[in-house]
Amino acid sequence: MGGPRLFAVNPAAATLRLVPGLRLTDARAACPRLRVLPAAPEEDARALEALALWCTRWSPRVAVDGTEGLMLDVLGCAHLWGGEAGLLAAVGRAFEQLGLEQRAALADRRLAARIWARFGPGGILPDPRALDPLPVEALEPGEEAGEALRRLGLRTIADLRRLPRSALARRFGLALAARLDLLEGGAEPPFVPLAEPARFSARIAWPEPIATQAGIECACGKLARDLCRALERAGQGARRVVLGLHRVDGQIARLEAGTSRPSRDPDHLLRLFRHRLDGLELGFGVELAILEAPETVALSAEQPELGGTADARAVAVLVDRLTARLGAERVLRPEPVASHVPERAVRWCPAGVEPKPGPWPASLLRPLRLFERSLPVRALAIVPDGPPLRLDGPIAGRVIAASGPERILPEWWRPEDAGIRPRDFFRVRLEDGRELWCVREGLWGEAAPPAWRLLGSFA
Amino acid sequence: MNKTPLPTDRAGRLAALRARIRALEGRGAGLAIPPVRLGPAFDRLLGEDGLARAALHELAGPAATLFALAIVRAGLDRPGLLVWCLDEAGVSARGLPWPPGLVARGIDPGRLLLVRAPHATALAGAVEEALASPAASVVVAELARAGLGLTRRLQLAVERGGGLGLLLRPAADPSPSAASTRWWVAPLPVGEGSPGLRLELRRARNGAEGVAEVRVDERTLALHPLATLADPEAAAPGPAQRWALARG
Repeated sequence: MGGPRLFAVNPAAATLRLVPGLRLTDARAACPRLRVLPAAPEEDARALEALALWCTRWSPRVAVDGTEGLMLDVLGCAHLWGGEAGLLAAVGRAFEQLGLEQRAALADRRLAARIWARFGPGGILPDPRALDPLPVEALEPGEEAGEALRRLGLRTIADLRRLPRSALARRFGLALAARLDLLEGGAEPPFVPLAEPARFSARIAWPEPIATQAGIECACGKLARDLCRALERAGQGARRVVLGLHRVDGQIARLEAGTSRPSRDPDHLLRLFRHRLDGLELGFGVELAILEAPETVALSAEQPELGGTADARAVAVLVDRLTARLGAERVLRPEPVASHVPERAVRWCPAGVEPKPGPWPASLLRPLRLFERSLPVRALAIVPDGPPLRLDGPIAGRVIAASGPERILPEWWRPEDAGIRPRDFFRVRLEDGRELWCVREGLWGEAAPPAWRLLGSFA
Repeated sequence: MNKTPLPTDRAGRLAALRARIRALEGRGAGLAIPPVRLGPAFDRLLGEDGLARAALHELAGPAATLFALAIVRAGLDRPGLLVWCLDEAGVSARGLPWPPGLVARGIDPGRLLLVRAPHATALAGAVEEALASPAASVVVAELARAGLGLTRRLQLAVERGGGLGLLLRPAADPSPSAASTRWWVAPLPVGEGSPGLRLELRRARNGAEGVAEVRVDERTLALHPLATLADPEAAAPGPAQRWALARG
């Protein structure tokens, strides 16, 4: 019984009585011109999740339900759409515009809504008793229990309800009894939304989509002001902000930015996004914009701090703007590292994190600039460990003054330093006045002759 | 324009009138901020503005970094960051500013903010952002190419921020620019001792031009003029005011 089977069929195929689970060879026999595409469950799951995010337009609490369902917690949301009927109608219209089929149901209990949508006609569940005539398969009894139920002639939910619950649990397992309880008021497991809604958010929805940069920017300004007002009322500052632009075609453009200090300055927050709005693909327009602050920390109104508060805030604003432009790995502050190997003496850290202040080693033998990759160079030098007299290579010239050598040994306890030779560092001045930091790797008398490299410059 | 009455004495009256003219020129922002002083000899050359803040200065030449750091050291007397902006081409050609070298010369690496832009376009945007920020006391920008349009934009940004903008370039750029001064900085082969610099002021707002040969005190990055070989008055007359620096 091997061979590929149908995973899903479209309405045209359904009219030919092709059903999911049918073997492909049988389906081809029924319809030789059948067009088949390989199933991609992972992509389906991704699409469903994207659709779930798109559904946050109706409620902030949305979850994916199985492989073909979405569950929305609409408590307190329905009145925005003119009641529950209005909400369902709006959902229907929006899905239709996306070109997707759906059947929506609304009920007090999640399982009831799910059954009403999949096995019932959908819509608002008028009364829990309305589920009674639906088949027991709606409760997902499983293969074995389903078979047993059928043999006993228990076909509808009403049939099950008439049985004593203890007998039901004994015969068909606890799970089925528990699901029946869920329909009638048992404790529901907690609802886990895709993303916990941010406590602070601002949104604008337009009746007509906005497709111009200027319009979006203007809207973002309003969103930022709304969000910052809410933050101020709660005494909070945003550490992270997320801007979601819901496009007409169902795509969501998400822009995210962090702040190095909590902020509720609308201009500051807006600046984090503004330049990124430029390159944004808007498609046929944006119909909904949501600005959220998923991470906030307490921020008092006046920020009475010691010394130069305005200054520290200006630094944070500058760092955030540059970071939003270029990324955290391109806006850096130096941190000293306790290592006597010069190349390891500095660690560049993202500027948003306060660098460890520390004692810096100070020596005039250290250059102003360090090359990222040292340059090999040929040198004429006094044997065995004298300074170079002449350099040849990318930078060439006669040496008129030199200081050194400063011998630095490798950190032998590090595995990556195994095999590194001792190095002598020299600061040399060439005849044209340029000053360079060069190094001789290795000593005379070793198997390999010493090699010279340029590491940095003093001007 | 405020119509405060002019001082009665001649010097005060002149200063007040100059201030008004500068405000008309749109350089009002720089006025409230004291300029960067590089020493009495430089003040004579650059006029009473010194090296003006809220202004751009172009430093080109093979030893531009050392001169830039001398200015940075003097300019960091006001609180704020030293923002050093360069792109990847600059990093691979000249390397990164290196904190152990800076700290030995009296520049606190704790105030350094390094901006590594991926390319020149991103660099220009980042430099503009940094110049416009009041948090930056000195901005060093390694912009290889900057025409009149870009420098004008940067000039407007630095007037908002009030810091000191240094455009550092490896090669001379003959294109017009909105910078207040333009320098050519070459190393001076001076043998032993502290390094020497040959500073050529090629353009300034006040019309000055000239050449200075200095030695750099490495611990303080102070510029000490070398004794001049020829009397400046007796030297061949140039198109503009020629000058030389005397010791002391």
